[in-house]
Amino acid sequence: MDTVSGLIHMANQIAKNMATMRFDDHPTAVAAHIKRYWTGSMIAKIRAADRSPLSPIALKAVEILDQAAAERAVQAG
Amino acid sequence: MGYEPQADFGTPQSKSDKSVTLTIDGHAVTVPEGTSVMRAAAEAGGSIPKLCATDNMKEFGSCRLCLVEIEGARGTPASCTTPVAEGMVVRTQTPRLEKLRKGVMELYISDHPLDCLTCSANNDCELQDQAAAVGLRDVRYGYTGENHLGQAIDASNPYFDFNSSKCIVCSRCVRACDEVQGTFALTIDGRGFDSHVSAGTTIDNFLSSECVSCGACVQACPTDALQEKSIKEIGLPERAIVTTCAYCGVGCAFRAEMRGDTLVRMVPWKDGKANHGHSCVKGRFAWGYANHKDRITKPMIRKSIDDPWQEVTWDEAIAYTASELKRISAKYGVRALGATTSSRCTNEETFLMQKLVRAGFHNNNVDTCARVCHSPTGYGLGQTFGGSAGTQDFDSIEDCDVILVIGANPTDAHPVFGSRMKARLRKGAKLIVVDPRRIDLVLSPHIKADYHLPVQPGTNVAVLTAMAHVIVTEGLADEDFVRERCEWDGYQDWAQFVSGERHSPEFLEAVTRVPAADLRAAARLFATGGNGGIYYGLGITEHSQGSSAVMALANLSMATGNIGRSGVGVNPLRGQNNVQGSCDMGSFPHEFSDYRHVSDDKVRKQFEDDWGVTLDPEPGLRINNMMDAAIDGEFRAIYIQGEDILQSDPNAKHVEAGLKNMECVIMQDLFLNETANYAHIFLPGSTFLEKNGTFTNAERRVQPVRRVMEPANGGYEDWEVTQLVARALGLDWNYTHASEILAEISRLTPTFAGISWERLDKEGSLQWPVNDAAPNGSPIMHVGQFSRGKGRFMVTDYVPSDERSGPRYPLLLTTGRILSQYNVGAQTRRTANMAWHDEDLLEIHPSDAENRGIKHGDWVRLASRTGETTLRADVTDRVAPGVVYTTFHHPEALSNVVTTDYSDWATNCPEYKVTAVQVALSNGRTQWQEEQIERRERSRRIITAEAAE
Ligand code: SF4
Ligand code: SF4
Ligand code: SF4
Ligand code: FES
Repeated sequence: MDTVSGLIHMANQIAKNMATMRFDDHPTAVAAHIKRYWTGSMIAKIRAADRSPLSPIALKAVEILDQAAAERAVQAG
Repeated sequence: MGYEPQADFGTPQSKSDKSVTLTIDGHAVTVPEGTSVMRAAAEAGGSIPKLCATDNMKEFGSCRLCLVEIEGARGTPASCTTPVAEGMVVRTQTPRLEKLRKGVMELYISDHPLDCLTCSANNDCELQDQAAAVGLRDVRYGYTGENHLGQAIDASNPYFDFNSSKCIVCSRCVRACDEVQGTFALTIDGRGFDSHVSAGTTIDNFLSSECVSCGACVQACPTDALQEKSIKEIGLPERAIVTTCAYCGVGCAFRAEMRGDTLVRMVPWKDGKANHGHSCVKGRFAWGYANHKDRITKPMIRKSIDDPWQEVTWDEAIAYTASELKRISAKYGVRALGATTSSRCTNEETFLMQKLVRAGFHNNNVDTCARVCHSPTGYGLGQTFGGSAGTQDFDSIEDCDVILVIGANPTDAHPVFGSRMKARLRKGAKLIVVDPRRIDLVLSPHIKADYHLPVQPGTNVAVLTAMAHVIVTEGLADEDFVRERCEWDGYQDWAQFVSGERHSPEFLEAVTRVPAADLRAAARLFATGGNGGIYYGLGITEHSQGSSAVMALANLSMATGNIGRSGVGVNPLRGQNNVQGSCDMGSFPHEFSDYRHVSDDKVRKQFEDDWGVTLDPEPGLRINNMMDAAIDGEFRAIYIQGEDILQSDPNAKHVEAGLKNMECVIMQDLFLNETANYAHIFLPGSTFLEKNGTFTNAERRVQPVRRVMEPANGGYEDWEVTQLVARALGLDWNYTHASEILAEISRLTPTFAGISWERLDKEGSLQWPVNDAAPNGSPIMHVGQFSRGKGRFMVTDYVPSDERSGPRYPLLLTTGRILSQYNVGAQTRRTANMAWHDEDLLEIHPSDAENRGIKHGDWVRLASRTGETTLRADVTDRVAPGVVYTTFHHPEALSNVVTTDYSDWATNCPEYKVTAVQVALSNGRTQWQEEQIERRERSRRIITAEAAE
């Protein structure tokens, strides 16, 4: 598995396992998990990757990561 | 310090709360009710002669040497079998007793070789001591009558001899094997004069018997009959230093017994709180690797992994290391560097390694080998209980009524605790084993599991959810406990989830392959059988749902109220000696010590203030991500302390590709291992015998490791080498002793706040948390309330692994460990433990073997989607049809070439336990094996410093 395929697999796996857990919003929980454990460069790679293999929850989580990155960029000026 | 044998009170300590006062030889003595007269006398400082009694096993009363007079009692009762009574008046020294004892002793001595002066036990022999104690000077019967002198010595065991001519048939060895070890390998055969110790096989020697070489019988033997070979070769010890075993997570305390600077033997320390004087073959005997000829003791460097190694001075090696790290950091950026800490090293060494990365490499790219074993434990128990560690001390097993062992094989991987478990089971505790293999605990002498659920690899979560289904739907949950101690809403969600029909044992039987009726019965037993304790190992964690399975176990314990007191709890059995410690010390890339996230500004500031540096708030790479990044050309240098990632990590080809792509691989280890084949710098390490520091065992017990000999690498403990590297990188570190690092750990780590070298020296060990709330430590956690406040139920849906068997790879491989070998075998392969396991074998069920024309001992090719290897077949019904099993102790087979990249969803702990494979007869090594052999040979070429001059 190359790195990007590995990251997509991991994101889908996190989403699948968290899907039945008790969270207010599952994509937010998945995004928080990724932010907590992944490096910035791993997050950048999944954001830049082809998103078609992502599950719906994983996809939304990556979109939340996009948003966070955009907010950080604005803050940084 | 001179040599002092360990005190022996003759019979075990009574646990009674009630006291009894009696008079012994005119002195009032108060002891707990149930104490023997012998022990009471010993506790009062007296000593009654004895031979068959010793204090780690039940009284026996056979030698009749310990006779006493008791006022009002008839005759002269044996003090070892006579319990104290209120007001009892005992005399231990009278002319009548003296005469009787002399008579008993005469009989023993008349049938004993009189070669004391040349005997290896001379001056360390209880028979000799007791003969002197009773004042025996002569033997009336002479020495020429019928006797057992001149019998052949059984030298079959690699570590100890049995000389039956020196045996006094006291049965201590037999009882040690039964009561302490629980193996029942020995018997006394014959009667009267003919009675003798037998290892119970037709060959009747120790090596061919059921003996597992724990050494308990040798320790118990009062004479030279059972004696360590090392004593015969080196002589008796002159001093002893207490230290901690560096093998498994039980953390047995040992006395390293020394003669001059030479280690003579390792003897389990009776005051060790994890082992209470017991040991296994690894800690007791397998320390010879420390002086093995393969040991690398001089630093070495090479420009390319195809070059031979060049020995250099420490100054040259450290300067080269620092220059390479600086060069790579300048060229590729700070995040191109990283390191791994080792669960075999001390807390202090681990702490310094992660400090080096965070403060010296300026990133958080530090990971630990615990990643590949127990990282899901940290995650799962953290989420549910709020504490990333086992909840109990080992002594808790004494109060356990139902023991659930899942994905663990304690008699092989945690042998001393396995013996404790067996002792409890023999006293009546019930046992549920969930494991794809029929591990020894399922059926062994005097033990039979009440239920063995032979789970299909990869379906633990389904089994645990089905157990929860039974408990909830049959109304067996302890709702009072849950209401009081846990988040009630979360429980209700969870209860509703597990109650669904699709989680019933019947529905899931097709997935788990566990008969629904057995699963139901096991669940009922766990919920209703009294105190239920859960013990688990890597068979839980090393799965794509490892973290879910840990949370499922936590859910079960909370739902049944089995948490927060003795006899219950969730207990991860840690593989290596310091897995717990390496996790606690901040070895994971996202957190500092005590599991605090690097993005927490307050925590980071605390470290920044203490260390005088600015720290990176972003998590670093995990070890598998480091390899990915190396393959992608982003990660260029790694400093690996005490680990062989090529042999131990999954998908060896992926690890190889990562290592090959790096510009600088720094190894700090004892031997040139498989990873070193790809290294550029080799910094020779120190063994646990050569260093000071602490290890933390599976019950959170922090114990001292003490230096008993000079480090063979020129005098450097491992932390000192890390300090040299740090200083060369410009960090102003000036530690002079491991205790100073421990002081820093305590300062920066709330759970360690009350731990100091001085306290450990005085108190022997402390179980964290040790802080203001628990100044004397915490044997049991979550008493009264969970670390996180209320316990949190986590819904854990069964998600099948992506690794599936199919027509091409129809079998499922699961991997594990064996008693005599340890991890990648770097240490144990360099000891006489090779007598028991000199190669990795593939266990395969007879029906699967027959289908493939495979016979026992045949060479077979084991192939998966990632790679293939060859090894020999062990045809056995220990594994179920469709499942094969092997170990990973030997580099020749390097079984991790077949394991995959799949890993736990939350922590990336590799899925070692599920690999779809095919097995076929083999006609030789695979190409990859041939390449590895060649690379290994090339990497063993060393240009010595002398040759270079
Ligand atoms: S070494 Fe251990 S297992 Fe072997 S006979 Fe002695 S007590 Fe039993
Ligand atoms: S071998 Fe030692 S312990 Fe065993 S019966 Fe003989 S003297 Fe006693
Ligand atoms: S049980 Fe573990 S800690 Fe104890 S002696 Fe054996 S390997 Fe060492
Ligand atoms: S020590 Fe009491 S009978 Fe042997």
